[in-house]
Amino acid sequence: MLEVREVTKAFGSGDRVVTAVRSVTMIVPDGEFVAIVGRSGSGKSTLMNLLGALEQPTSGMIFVAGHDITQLGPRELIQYRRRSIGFVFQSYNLIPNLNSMENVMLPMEYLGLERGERRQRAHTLLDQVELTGGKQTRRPGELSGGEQQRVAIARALANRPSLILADEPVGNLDTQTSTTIISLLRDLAHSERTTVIAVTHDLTLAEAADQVYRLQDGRLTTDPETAAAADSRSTRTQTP
Amino acid sequence: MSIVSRGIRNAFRNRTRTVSIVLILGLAIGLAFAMLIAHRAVAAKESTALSSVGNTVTIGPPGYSAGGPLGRFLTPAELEPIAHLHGVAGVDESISGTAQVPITTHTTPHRPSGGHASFKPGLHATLKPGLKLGSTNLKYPGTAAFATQGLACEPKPCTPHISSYTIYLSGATDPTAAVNIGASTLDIVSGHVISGTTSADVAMVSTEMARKNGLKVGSTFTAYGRTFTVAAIFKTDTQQGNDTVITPLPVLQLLSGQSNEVSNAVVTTSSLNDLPRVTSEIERVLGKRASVVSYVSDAEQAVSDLNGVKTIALDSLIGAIVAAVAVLFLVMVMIVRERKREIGILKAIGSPNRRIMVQFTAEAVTFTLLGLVLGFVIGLIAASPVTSSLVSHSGASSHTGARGLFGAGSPALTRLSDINAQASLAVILEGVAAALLVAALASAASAWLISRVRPAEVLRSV
Repeated sequence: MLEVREVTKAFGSGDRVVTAVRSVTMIVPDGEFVAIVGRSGSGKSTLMNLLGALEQPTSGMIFVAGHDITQLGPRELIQYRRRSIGFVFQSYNLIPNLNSMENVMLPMEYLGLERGERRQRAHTLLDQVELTGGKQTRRPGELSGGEQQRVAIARALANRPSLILADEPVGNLDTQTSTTIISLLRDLAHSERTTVIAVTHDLTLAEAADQVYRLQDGRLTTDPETAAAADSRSTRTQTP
Repeated sequence: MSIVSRGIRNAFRNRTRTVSIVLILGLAIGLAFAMLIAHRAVAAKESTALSSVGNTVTIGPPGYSAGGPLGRFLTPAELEPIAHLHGVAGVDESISGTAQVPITTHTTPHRPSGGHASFKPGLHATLKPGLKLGSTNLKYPGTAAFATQGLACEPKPCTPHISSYTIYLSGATDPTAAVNIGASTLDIVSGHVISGTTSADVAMVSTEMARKNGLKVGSTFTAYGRTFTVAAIFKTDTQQGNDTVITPLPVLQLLSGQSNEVSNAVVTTSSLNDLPRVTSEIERVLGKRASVVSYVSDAEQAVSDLNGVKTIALDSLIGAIVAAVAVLFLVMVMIVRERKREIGILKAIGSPNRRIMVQFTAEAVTFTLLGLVLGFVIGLIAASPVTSSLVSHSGASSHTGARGLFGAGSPALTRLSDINAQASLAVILEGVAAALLVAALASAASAWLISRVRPAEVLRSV
């Protein structure tokens, strides 16, 4: 479970303080697909960086599986990112001179897994995101945007993280590919019991989420419209 | 793929850039390597020149170093204080004599027994004017060509023909000093070294002299009307040495009518550093009574020119290494800045700084090693012409060394510009070490930049 308690993040000092995230509190159960919507500059990326331990909050606490990650030292933070977090970015951010397989194997290298084991798991994950055959040995530049994002999702899943943070995961994709990626993330959240938090301004993604939050001027609120849609979809899903 | 192999692979990510970097690094390393070879070659030459001078000072009668008529010979009493000077390790006193060998056939040229003949520098030069000549039953061991070599006579060709060969005798307190027989080596091959201060009629002869005369240790021969017993047979490296019989100093002094006289003395100093001071001390003690010869000032003048070459080579070497470090430093800074986002991603997915630094260091080392290979080729090709050019533009090339004994100079100093610039294994290893230092310094810069990359900042723009 992810629990965020009164987290605030401010940049700068003195008269030039800019508060990107203000007293954000939320609780996300394991295996939920959560969307955080908001305009540019609303603090979405800062909140993602806080959850991913890439930034330290100015105040507040963030609990992941019962551990307050704001109290971790540099080495523990590296371990946390390595074992518990998977990142998916809008621009995919794959390593350009590594092929799909090598990109997915990369995080496993940091865990110290044997090469054969890394290759086997990377192969399985790429199959899972439906990137098969010769595409597994192609470099990012030889793949479409949707295919690159599939590789990025496979890489995010490589170390079986408890939390996947997706920053505008469909921002650069066409509608059809976006729908595929959104359902892929949602299915992964439910099947792997992995919490997926996606920040987006894409309503299609928000509509597919189990829970939707709106971030405005750094303040997090539950979005009534998308929340209602999510509730109704949830109800339909649960009805036999 | 290991982190190191990933770093090596990254070095070839942009081939055009890699070729450019390797070319520039290769030129810088090549220049550094050429300068390192030049520096080492010049240093070796300098060392050889200095050691060839040796830590000895030669004392002779007035006129000894100028090549003119010799003045009054020194006495052991006059030389006695020299042995007590600070820094003097030993004093070898010697005197020379000659014995005539009559010519028995007219098929060979002959050395005159006097008259207009003069002799080459060396042992002959210390013969006292009007020296009492002896006779011997020994046969001349050398060739006729050597017997007449250096012979100056007026008018040429020499007339009348020489009527006898001359065998030299050397009496010395140190009978094993090669310098006394005009040689650089003197090795006893049989028998025992004679005492230089005994009054016994014992002698040491060369292997050539022994062969020509059928002598063995214990055999006898006559000279100056006395019968000498061969106590030792030595091997030496010059014909002049082969022609010389070594006796104790007092014996030759007596027989050649030079009692209580010393034709020259070789003073050995404790170290090369003592040489200038001991030389001036001897000059002070003996004043105008003696001629003091030391090549130390010639050597210092000659090597000062080589020192200039060494300084230029060292400065260029440092400059080239600094240039290589600067090139690689800037390249690595550029690469790190270019891949800032990639570094941020690696950190975000759990890579520690150390692993990323290793990867970039492997990339820097790859550039350096490729530059090193090219640099070695350039350096090996350029080393010899660069060294020759540096030496030819220095004073070393014009140094003749013609100041020493009778204008002959020190052989090592006359060929000072003849430098063989070759890469030894040590130089190659030093080159590799310097190149790895270049890579390490440049990598340190990239490591510092990598440690400053904050993933949150670089990913914010994503």
